[in-house]
Amino acid sequence: MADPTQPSIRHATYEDVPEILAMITELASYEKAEDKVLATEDSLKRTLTFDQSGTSSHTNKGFAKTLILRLPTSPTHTGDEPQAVAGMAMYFNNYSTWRAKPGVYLEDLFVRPQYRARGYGKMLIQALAQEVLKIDGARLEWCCLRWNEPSLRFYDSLGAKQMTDWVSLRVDGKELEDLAMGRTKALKSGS
Amino acid sequence: MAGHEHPSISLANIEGNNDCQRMKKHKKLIQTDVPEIHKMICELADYEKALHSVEATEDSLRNTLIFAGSSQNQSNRVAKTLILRIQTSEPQTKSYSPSDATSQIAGMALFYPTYSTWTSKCGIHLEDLYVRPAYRGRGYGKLLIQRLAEEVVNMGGARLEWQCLEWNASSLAFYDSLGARKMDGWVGLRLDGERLVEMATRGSEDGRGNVNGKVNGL
Repeated sequence: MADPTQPSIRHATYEDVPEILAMITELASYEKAEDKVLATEDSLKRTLTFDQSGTSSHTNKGFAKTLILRLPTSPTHTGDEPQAVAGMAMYFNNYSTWRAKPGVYLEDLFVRPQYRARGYGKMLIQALAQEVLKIDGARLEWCCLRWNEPSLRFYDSLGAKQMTDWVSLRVDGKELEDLAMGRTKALKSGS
Repeated sequence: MAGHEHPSISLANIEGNNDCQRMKKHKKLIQTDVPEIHKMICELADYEKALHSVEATEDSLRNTLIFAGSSQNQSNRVAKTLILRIQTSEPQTKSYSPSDATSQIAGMALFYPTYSTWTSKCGIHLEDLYVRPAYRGRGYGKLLIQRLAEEVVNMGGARLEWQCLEWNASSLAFYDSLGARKMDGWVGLRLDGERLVEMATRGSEDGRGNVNGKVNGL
């Protein structure tokens, strides 16, 4: 049986959506980008994959799954509310052509400030590492803001490598529409 | 006389089910693209000075990618490959017919869907983009990327993303001309190999970081 003094990690159900949205907003705020959050409870319900629960038997096929970390049923820290939501890891499957294997891409990792320094972040990453092995995957990947030194130190302590040789490119908004419609600026020299 | 090149982009094929009558009729036209995909992955890795890193085989690609014309259950797979084919026709041949055209595979774009929490929208990550040297300078790379941008828009998605080696100045200039932004503020992290297994195993052993506790798995 699960240890009641340990937190639990489970895949999210529809009922977890309000907490997921709250944590997405809290994380964006920490990354100084709260105004960029356009997600709503409704949009999350439509786009995430949820586990069947006892109360609502929905299982939809969304674009990402969420692991929810809850406090123990018998908390050992004073003032902790049993089974309160303390953190989450949102992820989807990616693919490595060199390995010809899927992997897990961690899109959002968040532990609420009042529950930090308890190893919960590491537990979520451990759960994701298990998920990679479960799908016969090769890699667990994510990204981090370069100025976020505390997080980078934490990731380094887990044995994660920084992929400093690579830079990400992104097309979104108007540039994405323009590109889809074939409208791009001319190259100065031939390609 | 010079032939004309007609590019077309379609999802990679795999051999159809031999029992299917409809497929038998078109058997000549349906081929498996797997060997060419494997070759192109190796060619691209070689260009990135990382040929030694390629572990993929034709079999492992066949078992992990999504293909058109496959009878296998592909519901757990995420990655698809767009194949760029060039048909060369000889329009001035008197007895010209479509079957006279030869088709070559000139490039590919391998990609998978992504998700952005802030927008709660899907997107596409372009994992490998490759145009064979003999076909460069004709806008085929841009054609493949445009096709993916259309796909993102059709999906109701928000972003098309990919990665590039920092030293690859010519590719970076090309991407800039497409309207792509460099996400300089971010660095990628990766856990793989022994460290990944250690992380997963440690989670199991001490019962922490284990989804649903020791008894129930994911």
